Amino acid sequence: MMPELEHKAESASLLSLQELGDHQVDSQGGLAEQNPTPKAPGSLAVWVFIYAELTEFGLFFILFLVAKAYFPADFSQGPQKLSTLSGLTNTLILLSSSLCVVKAMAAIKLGNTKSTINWLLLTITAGALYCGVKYLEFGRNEALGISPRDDYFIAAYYYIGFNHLLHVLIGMATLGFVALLTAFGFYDAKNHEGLESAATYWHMIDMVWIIIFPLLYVLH
Amino acid sequence: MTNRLLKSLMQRLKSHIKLRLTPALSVNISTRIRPIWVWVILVLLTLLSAAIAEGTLIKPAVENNIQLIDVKQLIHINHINQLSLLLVLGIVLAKGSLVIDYFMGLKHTQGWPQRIMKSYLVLVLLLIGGCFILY
Repeated sequence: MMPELEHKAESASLLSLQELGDHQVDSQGGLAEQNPTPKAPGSLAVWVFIYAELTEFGLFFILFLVAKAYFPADFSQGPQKLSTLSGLTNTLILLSSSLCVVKAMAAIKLGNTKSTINWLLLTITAGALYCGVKYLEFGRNEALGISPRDDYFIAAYYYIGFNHLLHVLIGMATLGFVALLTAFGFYDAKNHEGLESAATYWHMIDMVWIIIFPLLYVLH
Repeated sequence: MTNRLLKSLMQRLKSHIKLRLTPALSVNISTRIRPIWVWVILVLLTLLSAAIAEGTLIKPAVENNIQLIDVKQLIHINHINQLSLLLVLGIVLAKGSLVIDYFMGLKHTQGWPQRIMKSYLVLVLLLIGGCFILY
């Protein structure tokens, strides 16, 4: 009785591993790899695009630091003029939007397309909120007479800020497009690489803002 | 007989657990940690860095009254600012790592993406830290 049970249990566990993928069992019927290391999400193309974007932002940061070295007075006085609350609010919005994207990915892996679309729409809404806060922030700066022509710090702040805003808009458009594709049934539990790519791009935007926020608003 | 029954029950339980856990073990480890908790940690770290931002406003206020402050106090303020800088950079590193590992899902993945993302983060923070300390 017991050896029979053991054999059934082993067969069942082998079967569950086989169900996970052909590479789980080798040609001799033995277990090749029980837990293969997963690949990075998204396509190779989106990763090349992400590296290019990171290089672009990296050059912005270098430019900022070189300007800071040449004009230290501007860069020590400048951050006081900015609204830390706006920067903080935008950071929280982007972090929440990243969470929504993670939820969307989890939903598509379960085959729940309706939930995926809802989470993606929520992410796009968060992106719109980010744009709204930026609009209010720039309005506040204008009301206080803060202009990019004032000093090099404010010029750098507007340059980096607008560039990041542009990337957020691109990310929103991309997510909107993949949400449409999901609604039309192009993505499902097994095939959703395009959606993963868009999600990865959005997380990259969030990660860049995590660096920008302290650079512009926190470090004096 | 009781021992044999117990043994068979234990083996059934083990095989049941193995069946349940095996698919879970093959899933990317990053999915085990709930994203909501990662988000909570990120929010807390953000609030902490914002609190530091408000705290470092002391320096510019002091600079305006620099003739009233003696040298020892200036050195003390400078050390606090350097510590604040290191703390903020540490917070950014932690936040960036959390986003890369858990939101991007790169924890325990193969290939270059995770290495490149983390190297980029570290390099940029080193540049920023170095520049702020030197200038």
